[in-house]
Amino acid sequence: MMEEKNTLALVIEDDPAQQEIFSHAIKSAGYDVEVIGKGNEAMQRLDEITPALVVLDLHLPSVSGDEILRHIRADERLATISVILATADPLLAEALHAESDLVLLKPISFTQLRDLAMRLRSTT
Amino acid sequence: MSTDKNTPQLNFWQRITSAHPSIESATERRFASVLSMLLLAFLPLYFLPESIRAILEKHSLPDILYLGSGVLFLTVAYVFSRSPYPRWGSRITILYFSLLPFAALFVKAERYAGDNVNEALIWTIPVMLLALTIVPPKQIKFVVFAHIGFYLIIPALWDGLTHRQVFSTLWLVIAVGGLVIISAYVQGRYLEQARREAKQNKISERRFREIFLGSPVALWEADFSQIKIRLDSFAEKYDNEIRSYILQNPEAMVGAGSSVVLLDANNAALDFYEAEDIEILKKSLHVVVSPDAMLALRDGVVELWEGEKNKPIETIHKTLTGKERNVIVRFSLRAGYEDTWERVNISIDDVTEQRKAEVSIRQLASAVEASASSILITDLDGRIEYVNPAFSLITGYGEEEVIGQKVEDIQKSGEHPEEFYETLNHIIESGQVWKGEVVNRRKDGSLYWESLVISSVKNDDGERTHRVQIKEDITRRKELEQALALAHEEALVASDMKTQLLANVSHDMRTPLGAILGYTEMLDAGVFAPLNAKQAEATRAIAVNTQKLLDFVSNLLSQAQIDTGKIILNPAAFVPQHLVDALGGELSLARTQGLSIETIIDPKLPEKIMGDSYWLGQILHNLLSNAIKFTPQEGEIKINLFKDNDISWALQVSDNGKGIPQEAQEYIFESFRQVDGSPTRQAHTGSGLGLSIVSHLCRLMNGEIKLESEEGKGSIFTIFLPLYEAEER
Repeated sequence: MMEEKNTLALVIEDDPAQQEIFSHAIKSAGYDVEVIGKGNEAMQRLDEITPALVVLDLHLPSVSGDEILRHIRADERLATISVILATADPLLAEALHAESDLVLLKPISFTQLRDLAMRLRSTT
Repeated sequence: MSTDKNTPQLNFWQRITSAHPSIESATERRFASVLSMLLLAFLPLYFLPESIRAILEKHSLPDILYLGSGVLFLTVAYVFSRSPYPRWGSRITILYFSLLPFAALFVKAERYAGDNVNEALIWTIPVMLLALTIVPPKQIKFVVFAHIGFYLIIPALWDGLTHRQVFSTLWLVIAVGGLVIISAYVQGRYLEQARREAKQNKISERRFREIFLGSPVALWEADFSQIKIRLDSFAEKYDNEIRSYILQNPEAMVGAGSSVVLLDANNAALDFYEAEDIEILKKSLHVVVSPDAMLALRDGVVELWEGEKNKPIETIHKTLTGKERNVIVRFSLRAGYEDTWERVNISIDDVTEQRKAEVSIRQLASAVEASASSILITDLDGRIEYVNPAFSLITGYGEEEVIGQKVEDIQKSGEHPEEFYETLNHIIESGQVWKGEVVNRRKDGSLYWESLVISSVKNDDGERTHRVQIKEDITRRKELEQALALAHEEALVASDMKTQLLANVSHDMRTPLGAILGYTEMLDAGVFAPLNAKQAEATRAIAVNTQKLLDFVSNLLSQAQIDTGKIILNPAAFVPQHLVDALGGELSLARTQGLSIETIIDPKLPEKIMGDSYWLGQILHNLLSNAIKFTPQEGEIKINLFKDNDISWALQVSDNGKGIPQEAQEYIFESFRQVDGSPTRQAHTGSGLGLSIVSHLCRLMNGEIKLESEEGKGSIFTIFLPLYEAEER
């Protein structure tokens, strides 16, 4: 049963410290983690893989997070992916609330992200 | 006084000679009265001796008839004289005396026969003269002609009497008759003239009375004859230098006032002096005529002496109730009394109100003159009729330069759009008051700001006649306003910059703080390696303090947004659970500290509700931080989201911590306030911003805060919010 479940999680975040915290938290929640630092690379990667969870930073170089979010939601294959949005900007956070499963305001706590990811994993 | 026609006590003689009451004309009455007197006197004088002789001598029938008819005639004449037709009495009398000589011829024919006839006829001459007195002049000629006629007829009627015998007397009668007619004619003309004059006098007297009594101007009629006598004596002594004598010798007129006799005063005068009747006024002249009025009397007398009529002299009179009135007095001599001054007309014009008005006008005028605001009066075309000195001071135009000019020609700057001037003109022409601020031009061409009020002046009929402009130079104020506006703008920019700076700072702080917190938590969670007890304690301390720092930075940002009014709520549909999910690591951190935190979400809450989830999250976060701060280890915190009723839901955070004292509950929602003086203060340092932000956000969301707290038992914060269920999409 467990093997059948997609455990791939994509962390799209440019800040190395955040990358490490996010990936550890997601890993602790039982996911396999892939980390990407640039928006355009993330877009390319999403054409190739279908992760179960995307942790998405909004502020990214080259292609911004909200573009990626819209891309995910517009693609039939990717539309059902759980997206945890991470942003430091409350206004952006609000604007994208409806599009994402969860919006977390930076800074994001390790334990908070771990616990939420665990919950998502068990419900999906 | 001379008006009573019926003297109540008539003596006997007057009673039997008075005219009939229906006769009004005085001359007619006098005539009737004289006639009746004559007849009454004549009857006994004339008839008594004749009658005695007739009785004592021989009393022939013709004699008795002659006498009887005489008595009858004259009695009838007397009766007529007392009747409304006294003229008939005179006619009968004359007829009797005219017939008398001829009758005598018949009655005493033997005595007057032959040449003696003239002895009888000669009587006609005194009769004609008598007629002159009692027959109206116009009718005299008939009497004369009748007599001459008789002379011509009598020889034919009486045998033995020749024309020649009669003629010797006839010439005399014709001569006397001619003289009588001439004198009657003269008399008639004189009487006519006299009557006309009398009539004229009467009319003018009546007219004078009417005017006098009915005049709205207070009028007196007074007797100045004593003063005239005094002046005449001065004139003799001082060679007619009356004016200089009187004006230089005040004692000359001492007592003159009391020698004036008030004869009459009209109703206007009685009203003016508040006298009930003329007698009271006469008695109270000394009250009315003040010392100042005595000077006016003296001046008036001098003017009268010099032949001046109605020269106005201003003075002060007092009414009988003691009110002082400003009056203009004019003296004039009544026609016909120029020599005696027995009748002097005095008119008294009340000018008190005028004088008062003049005083207030003078006051207003000097206020306008002295005003620091410039004041213009223009006609309806905008042509200047008056400017005050302030106008000249502000604009540089002299008064003489602008009188007659149009305001717009000299002042209009053209700085405002044409519609502005049109609206202004329209409002003024419609009679309304215009208030505003205008850029105008000075004489030297420089522009300045004026605050301007234009209003209309109306006459008694309510028609607009002039416009008044009151202007104030507000250039300085305008400059200040502009400077202020600039300063305000700069301040806003500065404030914006401050807020922006704060936002940037807190944003930039949050990112590394987040990293610190994240790594600390990872250490604590044993991600890298299990920690010994000391290490775990240290990492936890780092985490707790980092979390506090994070909260502080977040609240600073929120407060900055609140201060600048930058918070705009964006309600959107959200899942209530997400509010709890979005709580930061604080929740798990608190749990690791040993606090029990329970979250309850009411299943009756709709799946999605409308609200600004970011700011709701802030509220929940701050309430939670507050609860954690004041709850000791092993304490319990509950987060409860529940549906209150159909229109409201609530966020509730309760703890079993130390609670908030009653007196502090009122101010804990204020910025930078905490419950001071508490023994555990050191352990609970914080910015004091959290609850103030909660309260502010709650107000923005039209919510309500309820705080239940008891010292030592804990606190319950409940935020009630309007419930809007999100529509299903």
